[in-house]
Amino acid sequence: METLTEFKDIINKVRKEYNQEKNPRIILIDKFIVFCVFILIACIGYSFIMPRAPLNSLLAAVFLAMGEGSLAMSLRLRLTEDEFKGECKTKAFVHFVLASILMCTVALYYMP
Amino acid sequence: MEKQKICPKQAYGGLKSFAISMKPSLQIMILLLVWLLGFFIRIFSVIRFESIIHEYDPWFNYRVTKVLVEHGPYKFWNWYDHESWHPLGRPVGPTVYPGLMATAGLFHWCAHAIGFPVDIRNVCVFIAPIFSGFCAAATYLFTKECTHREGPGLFAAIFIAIVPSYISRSVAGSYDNEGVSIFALVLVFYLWIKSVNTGSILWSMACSLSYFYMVAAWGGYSFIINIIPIYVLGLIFIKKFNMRVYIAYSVFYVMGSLLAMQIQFVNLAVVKSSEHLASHGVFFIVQGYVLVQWFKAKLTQEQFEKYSKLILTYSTIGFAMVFAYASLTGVTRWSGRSMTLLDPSYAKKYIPIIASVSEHQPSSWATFYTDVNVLVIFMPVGLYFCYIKPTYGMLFCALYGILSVYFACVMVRLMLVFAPACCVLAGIGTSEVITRLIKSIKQAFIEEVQSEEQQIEEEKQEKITENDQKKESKKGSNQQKNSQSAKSISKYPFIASTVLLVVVAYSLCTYVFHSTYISAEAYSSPSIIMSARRENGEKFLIDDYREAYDWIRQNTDPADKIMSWWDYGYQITGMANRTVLADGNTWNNTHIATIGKAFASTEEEGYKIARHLDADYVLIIFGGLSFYSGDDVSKFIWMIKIAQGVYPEIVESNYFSNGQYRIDNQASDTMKKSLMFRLAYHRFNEVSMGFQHPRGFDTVRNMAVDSTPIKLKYFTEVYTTERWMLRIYKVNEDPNRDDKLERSIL
Repeated sequence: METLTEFKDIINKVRKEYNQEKNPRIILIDKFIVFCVFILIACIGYSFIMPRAPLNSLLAAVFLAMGEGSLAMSLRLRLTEDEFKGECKTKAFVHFVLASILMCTVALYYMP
Repeated sequence: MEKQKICPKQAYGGLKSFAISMKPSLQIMILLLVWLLGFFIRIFSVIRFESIIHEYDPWFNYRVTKVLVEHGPYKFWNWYDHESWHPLGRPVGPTVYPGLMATAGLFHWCAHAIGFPVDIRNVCVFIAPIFSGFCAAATYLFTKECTHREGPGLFAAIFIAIVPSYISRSVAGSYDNEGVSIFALVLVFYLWIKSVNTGSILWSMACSLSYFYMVAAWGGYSFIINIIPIYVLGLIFIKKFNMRVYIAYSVFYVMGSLLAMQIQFVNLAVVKSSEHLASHGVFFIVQGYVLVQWFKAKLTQEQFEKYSKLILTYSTIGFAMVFAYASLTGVTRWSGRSMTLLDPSYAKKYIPIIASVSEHQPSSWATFYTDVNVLVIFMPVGLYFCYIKPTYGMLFCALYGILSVYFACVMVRLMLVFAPACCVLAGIGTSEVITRLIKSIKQAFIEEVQSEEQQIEEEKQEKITENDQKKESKKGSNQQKNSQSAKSISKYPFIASTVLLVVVAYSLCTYVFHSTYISAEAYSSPSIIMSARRENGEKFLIDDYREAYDWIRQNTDPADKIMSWWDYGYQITGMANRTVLADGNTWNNTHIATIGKAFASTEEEGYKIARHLDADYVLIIFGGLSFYSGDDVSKFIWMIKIAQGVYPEIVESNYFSNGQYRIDNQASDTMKKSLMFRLAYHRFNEVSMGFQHPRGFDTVRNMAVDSTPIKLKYFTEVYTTERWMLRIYKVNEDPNRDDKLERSIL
């Protein structure tokens, strides 16, 4: 029980800290990452219920979700982390867009 | 008086600034010369013989490229080859790595577009030497990225341009996957280190695109997809993992896996084979690690320790269960070749076809010296410097070096993967050693110059009296600076460093001589044409292979099928343009074992199997007359072993007499009755080798063949080449059938 209340405290603390994040872009990127993770879990869960027949479609969806999540996470890190303080932020967005285009093209080619 | 003496320090300073301004053009010139060197050292066989495709596998690649160039990419991608593996055929699209053919096709198309109508054969022959130059450039970039200095890069580039083990697989005419894929390998590593150093998404995308090219080019891509996750895991363990590595790996992993699935040969192996398991696992570990680090910042120390212990135990148990389930139930499995790498004795016990290939034998120490020569001494030096001054790139080089040494010891063929690691590490080692030596020598000269300068300064001081104090302080600070710099460089005695420099330079010269000699003598043989010398020193060519294949092409029906051992399948389809029963793809073990059984059985049994397999001609290689030791009689043991694996009625020990492999009067009965023996030695007892040997003396086995004349009932000899190297027999029609009768009925 102690651990449970402790856990709840920690979650609340984290939530409070996160609410101080003001940059709308960062919040949007975070929501996108959560969305990608949700899609990933939904695809895998669905594949357990229904037959996995066109396996390459499943793989395309799974890898695309993982990939877009990773790219969004990379973008977020490039915008917020101290390591990348001196780097140009517009470049990060442009790289993200180019990488997403390539990834979507490849995944959609593999899907059917 | 001052103007008469030119201050040596100023002259030295002027020279240094000139050298620094020439640096970029010097580097480019050196790289261009390295490219030319790599190209010219590989074209010995073209000069000696002609521009011809070598060996066995390249003939298949050449045939596929011809289809690509003549009929376009769609026909190539969807081609079903009916001319090999006779009743079964072979779907070429999903069973071939298309990178090499696509590259050659692209070069061919570009050349034709510019206005050079180059024949596709010449593109195929010369593509490997051209890519060796690209590989040297990639190695230069890779080493420069790892060490942030150009010196090691230039050394590594020249080492890899002439390293014999790379030359052996990329000589002009050796149109095989490795010629192109070693360049791709080094390029992937260069772009990987670049993305780890910069943490940029764009470089990671470039890395995954070059990884896609590597997957398209060679099966050795599984080395990359395992070494990069091991590297990332290692970084986590030594607490050097930062956000750049995270970005680099997550983007590379997802993009790389997606792209690898586009190659038909790989397709679902990305998720189903055990070779990719490490990359999946490390991806999730990395995500978990970053999450944990993020949580750690939010929690207190004891809380974090409590939770981390809990989660760690559960996740380890869960992971172990998943791994056990996957391995035991066979959800994922290792391919046969990967099992051979992990357990070197696996192939000998279970897969004789893999064990029979001479390239798959373990390497000996002599192989290391022949293939990599002096670099094997400088490699540990470079490894030492990787640990002393570690950067992310140097740690990766060290890991690559150690892993590739293990694989090079398991299989001779993988010496090729070891070669770039050796060149990079040796380049680093040589450059560091030479830099230190030259600095010591320079230091000795500067001290001499310094003592001269001090004399000049003292003379000046005696004459000028106004700025006494300033000059003294200057001299003092100068002296301090020089003594400080003397302390930072470890100074070796002048004589020792000069001698050592001469020794290093000499060993590098021996490396160049050795590489040239080895590539000219040992690795430039097309193996389809051979040359030898008569007693008077005159050189003559042995062209029996092409003689036989041309005979087949001109004297047999285009629908005829040739039965031979699988080694020669590619050459027969490539040069003789006839259907074969088995070729170098060796994908169907039972089919090959059936052919082995045909050769190992009696003539009647062999005839029945040949008719069952629908063969019209049988081709064997026989080296007894021409000292050619790689013939079918030598390979016969392997044929028996492979046949025994599928048909247990064939017993290997029956073919030996008293444990010895004999072909003379003391040969065992089974051996004398076997089809291979009868076909190889038919009419051979009439041949005289000279007065010092009896009739029918086999020069390879060093004994005279059994003296009873061999009469063939079911086969007819139709052609034997000039030196008896290739012998072609026609499979007789069924004895009770009359051709003319059949035609009159129809």
